[in-house]
Amino acid sequence: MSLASALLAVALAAIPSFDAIVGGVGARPRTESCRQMEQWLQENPTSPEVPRGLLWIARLRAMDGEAERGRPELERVLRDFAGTEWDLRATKELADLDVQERHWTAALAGYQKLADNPQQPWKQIGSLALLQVRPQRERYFLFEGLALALLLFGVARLALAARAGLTPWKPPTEILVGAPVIGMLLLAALAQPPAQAKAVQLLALGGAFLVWANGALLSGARWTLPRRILESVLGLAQAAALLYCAVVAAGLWDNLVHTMIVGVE
Amino acid sequence: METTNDSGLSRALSWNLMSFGFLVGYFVCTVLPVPVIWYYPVERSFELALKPHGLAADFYGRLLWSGLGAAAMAPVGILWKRFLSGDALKRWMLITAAWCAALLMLLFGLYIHKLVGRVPTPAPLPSGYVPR
Repeated sequence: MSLASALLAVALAAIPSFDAIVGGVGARPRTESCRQMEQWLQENPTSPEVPRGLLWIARLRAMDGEAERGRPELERVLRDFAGTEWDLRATKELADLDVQERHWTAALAGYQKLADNPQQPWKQIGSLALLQVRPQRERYFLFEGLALALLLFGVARLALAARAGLTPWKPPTEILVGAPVIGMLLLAALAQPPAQAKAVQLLALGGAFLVWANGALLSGARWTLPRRILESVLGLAQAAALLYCAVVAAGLWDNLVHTMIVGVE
Repeated sequence: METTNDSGLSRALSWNLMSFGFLVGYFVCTVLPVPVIWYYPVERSFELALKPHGLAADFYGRLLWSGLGAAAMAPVGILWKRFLSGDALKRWMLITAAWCAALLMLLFGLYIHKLVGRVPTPAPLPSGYVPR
């Protein structure tokens, strides 16, 4: 036996088996497990376990909060194992990933592919996902529209204040009065789970911007009854739009609906 | 030269800022995981901890945090009022009063939210206790 083939035999013996890599996942860091599986896949390119290994890597990356890094593995399953059970599994994982990344068209196409499959449970999984993701996409589009409208509304008010000879860059009394509450909300967000913290931060900062923009313009306003009514309605509309944006952007819509139906418990 | 009216407003500004510091202290130790002095009425002892290990009252610990907040804001009030007079003093007195009112409302809301869903659980009976 030549030296090269002896070294190769030693190297191959050092790579754990598929079952040893999968079974020992709890005993080592996930990145190390992924590295070992990638090595195994390189050494065993024709094994029937290859698609399972690729999906396994993608899931481990998702568990580490790096789901996007698992996309190449999922796409490889789609490419190399089209028409198999693994193809459907990878389609589901990719569609879930696309929802997270807000690639709505790709996500809906993936779920539609599953829904069109005559085989259960894939048909049911796809249909249910379509029912859930379509309204999610509409909510997200509405959120984007409302966020843009609020931003333009605030900027327009600041511009109108400047045009009227007021000083929009100077903090109005409204923002000075509300500053501690905004500060306390931002402080309280530090101790919240990430989604809730994001919602509170968006509410506090978005609210501060709108209060500033409104205060800058309205400090020089001539108050009549119709103007009071109009500004009250506008204020309520801004608050509702901002709340909607914060809840949708933080991904809390489903939690909110669930809480309203089932209750706090 | 400070008028009698300004003197009253200056004192009010200082008290507002101290009250604001008090409320901030209470708010911070409620929403952030900071260690608090807990009083154990059964053992008659105190402990500085994030969470108690038994039946305990946090009131004194939170009051201490609030007192520290008020003490921190007292010199701010004393210094700040030196730079204000007339309309500016009156304006900031009103704004700081609004800070206190807003924070008080926020604290009320926070405590109603914390307490409304609470189901009290009885503390375990002391070891060696024999029911009569």
